[in-house]
Amino acid sequence: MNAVLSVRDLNVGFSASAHAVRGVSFDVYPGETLCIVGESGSGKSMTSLAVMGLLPPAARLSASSILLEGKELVGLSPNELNQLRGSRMAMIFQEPMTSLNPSMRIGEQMIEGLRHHGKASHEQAWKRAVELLAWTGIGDTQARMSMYPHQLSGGLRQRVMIAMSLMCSPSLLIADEPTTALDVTTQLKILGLLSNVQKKFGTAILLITHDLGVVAKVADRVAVMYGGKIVEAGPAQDVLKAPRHPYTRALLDCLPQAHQGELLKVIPGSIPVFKETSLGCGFASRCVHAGTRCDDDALLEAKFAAGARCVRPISYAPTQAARTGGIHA
Amino acid sequence: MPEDKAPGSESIRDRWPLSRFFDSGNIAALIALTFVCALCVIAVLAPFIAPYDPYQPNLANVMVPPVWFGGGAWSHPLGTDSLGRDYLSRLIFGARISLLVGFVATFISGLIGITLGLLAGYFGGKVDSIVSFLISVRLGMPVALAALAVVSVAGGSLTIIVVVLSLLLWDRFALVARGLAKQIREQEFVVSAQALGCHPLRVMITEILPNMRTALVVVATLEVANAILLESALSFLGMGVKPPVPSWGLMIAEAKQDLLFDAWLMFIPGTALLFLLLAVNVVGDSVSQYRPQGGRVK
Amino acid sequence: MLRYLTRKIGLGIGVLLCTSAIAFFLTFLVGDPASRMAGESATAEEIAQVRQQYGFDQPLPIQYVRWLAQGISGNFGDSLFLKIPVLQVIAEHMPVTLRLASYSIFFSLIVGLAMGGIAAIREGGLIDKLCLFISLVAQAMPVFWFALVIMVLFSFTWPVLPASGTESWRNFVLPTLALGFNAMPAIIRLTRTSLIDVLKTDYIRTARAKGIPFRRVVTKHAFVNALNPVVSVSVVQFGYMLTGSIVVEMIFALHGIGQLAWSSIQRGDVPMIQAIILLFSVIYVMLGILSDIVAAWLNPKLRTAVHA
Repeated sequence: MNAVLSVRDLNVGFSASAHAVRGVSFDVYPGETLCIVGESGSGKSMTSLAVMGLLPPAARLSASSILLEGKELVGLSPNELNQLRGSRMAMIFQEPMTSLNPSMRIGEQMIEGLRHHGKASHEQAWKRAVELLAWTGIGDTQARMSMYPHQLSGGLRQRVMIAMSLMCSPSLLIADEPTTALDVTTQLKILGLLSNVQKKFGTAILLITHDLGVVAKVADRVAVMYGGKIVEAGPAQDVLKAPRHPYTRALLDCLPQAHQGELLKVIPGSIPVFKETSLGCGFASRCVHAGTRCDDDALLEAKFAAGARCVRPISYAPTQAARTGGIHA
Repeated sequence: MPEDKAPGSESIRDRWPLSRFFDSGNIAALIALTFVCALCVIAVLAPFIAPYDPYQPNLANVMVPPVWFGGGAWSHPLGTDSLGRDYLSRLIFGARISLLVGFVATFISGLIGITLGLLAGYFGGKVDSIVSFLISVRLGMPVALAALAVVSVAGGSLTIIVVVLSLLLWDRFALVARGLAKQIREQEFVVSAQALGCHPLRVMITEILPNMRTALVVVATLEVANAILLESALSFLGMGVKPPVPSWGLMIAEAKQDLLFDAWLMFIPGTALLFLLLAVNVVGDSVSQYRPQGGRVK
Repeated sequence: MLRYLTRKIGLGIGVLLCTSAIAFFLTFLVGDPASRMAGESATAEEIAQVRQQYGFDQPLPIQYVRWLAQGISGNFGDSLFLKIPVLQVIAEHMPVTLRLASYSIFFSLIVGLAMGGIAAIREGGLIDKLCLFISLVAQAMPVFWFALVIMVLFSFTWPVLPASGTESWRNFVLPTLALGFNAMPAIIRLTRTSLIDVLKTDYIRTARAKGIPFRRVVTKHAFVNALNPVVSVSVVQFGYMLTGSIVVEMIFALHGIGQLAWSSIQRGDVPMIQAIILLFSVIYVMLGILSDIVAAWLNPKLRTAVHA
């Protein structure tokens, strides 16, 4: 089965020495959800913006290849990229409260993309918008179409965003922390909605999050990012139950549920700032297992093929099956 | 200046903007500031610097063009006007008028405006309503027209002009001071000062006022430019200082009749005026780009 | 919304009462209007006669109330020099000034919006710096001097435009340029700042994520939201054009309110001066209220609250 999105060796930098994303590669398949998880500053948002071509002007992108449905995105002109954005790949963002144009009615914003990409007439687009809004669980759809964003709640606005992103039936949906700004109950509903989208339309979903709980709920596969690199990748259940990279392990350890009744665990130190070019493993300075050969890039790369970018990955009892599938499924 | 570490009680005391002119290579602002200062020095030393008496007519030497035209001479580098008076000297003395009116009127209107704004912002309620109403009345008043009318009946002495301008230019000071005072009043260090039992006047002067410094300096530069502009406009219309006082605006007015052949009579004081106003504006712009506690904001 | 409006209008009326009082008392500040009106060579008797005839012997507040009452009913007295009703003279002169002010605000809006917009899109670039520089020069430029300069350049040096009179539209080109240039900087800067802020918002990012080309994002999404403060300011700027017209009309010999104001002040035509100051004041206050209403209308939150 061919990947919907295939990224090879993505780098995003702000100057010669400051890189937000280094050498990131991954695939996303139709009908599956790949979660990229990491702390703020890990480069996960930049990765998604890079794929969409929405990086801030100061950022420099370089990649060997970014394939969307087999079409190479690297080197496309802005016009060509515009044609794909919104129609073949769509994105929803973290802040539903500010992500909709406050001066434009919902209906107009909904149909704008579809109309622009020339796929439908006004009536057809309107009908589809109403259908999608209803499907995402927004009642009273006709009335809502004529409303302004400020008349809707945060949860409703995020549903509108999701519906809006589906208007052109994209094969890839990128969701950058879609539930972070919402309360817990609404979070569950939105995540459920995303699952439904996947089930019904077969859309591939690339979901960016810092919340391991979200990963546990919706991810098929997960990639853990640290310091601009993917440090571990694999099927979600495997990675969550048996993390191989010390960082992933430490993250899971920090969850309150992990050690009930004890002091919360923290990871000492802090994440690397861009400017520190790290040869070798960026986590080494904070890692319990750190030692020799942690600065050997070639070795780290080789080890990554087995799932974790670490020279001394955590190992488990032989009875546990070898990890099936890494970053490239 | 050490900053408080406790969050929320940090005084937003900004460092005096002047020191930042000298770092981070803001050449334009530096040049502008130098220009204004130099002009001030020239204005103060006018009687010693000016080559001739600006009031002394010399009917034998009328309308001599500036030195860069044919017929000009270095004895009168900027030429002479229709009464034979040396233009360079008149220009130098004219700077006095512009700068004097500019700074004094701004100073007085600043006092008025900042006081009103501070009181309104700090006390709120009735005081605020009264001050806001006063500001609205001032804004509803056609400034130049009123100034013209008053000066026409009261005569064109320098004092009158300064007084009139002072009474007309305080509105922006008041608005800015009021807005900032309201904001700063909510900050923790003010509340703690009040809790200590400090007299409101002391709170206003020692806590609130210093934190408005940058914004008020910006307003001040704007109003200095405004005042200079208004004075020259009034003089141009014949309602400002009376001849033979060499106000630049008046010089431009006197040059109006000779526009056809001796346009330089009008260009010279006008260019001087333009440069002065440019310099003041550039200084104001630069100050407005500095934010408290570090770094320029572009 | 209605309550908002009535409050604004009430405030406006209060302001107008004050400004009209100031306008009225201003002219009594120094000098006795009766002796001025009677002339320099008048005897004491003649002056007393004038005083009684025009009611200058009444206490000032009563004079003010009378003036105001008469004014509301449309009678501001006769011009001291033209001997015809003040209101009539003003009505004759208004069209020219309105025309000039409209052309000028139009000009400064078009140029200002364009320059501010381009500067915002190319923020930090050469064009941005150029626009800011032009804006700076325009702000520092004295209106009356600029008017003279362009008159010299375009009427004398290259005689392409007339320097005075009101025959054709050509007569308005230079005055419009002079006035418009003065009002431009505020519009340029406001548009630029506003648009820069809007372009950084999340909803612009969403629009781009939909694949809308950048140009259309700017015109359809960004500009509309950026326009709000600019429109409000422009409305107020229109009022300031009136004051600027005093100088410009005088220089270009246009027979508008500005020139009327100036000559009235020169001649000491008290009823005219009072009426004109009041007129300007009324216009300023009305424009201020209009500006608030427009700002409120452009804000969708307030607009929907009206209909709710």
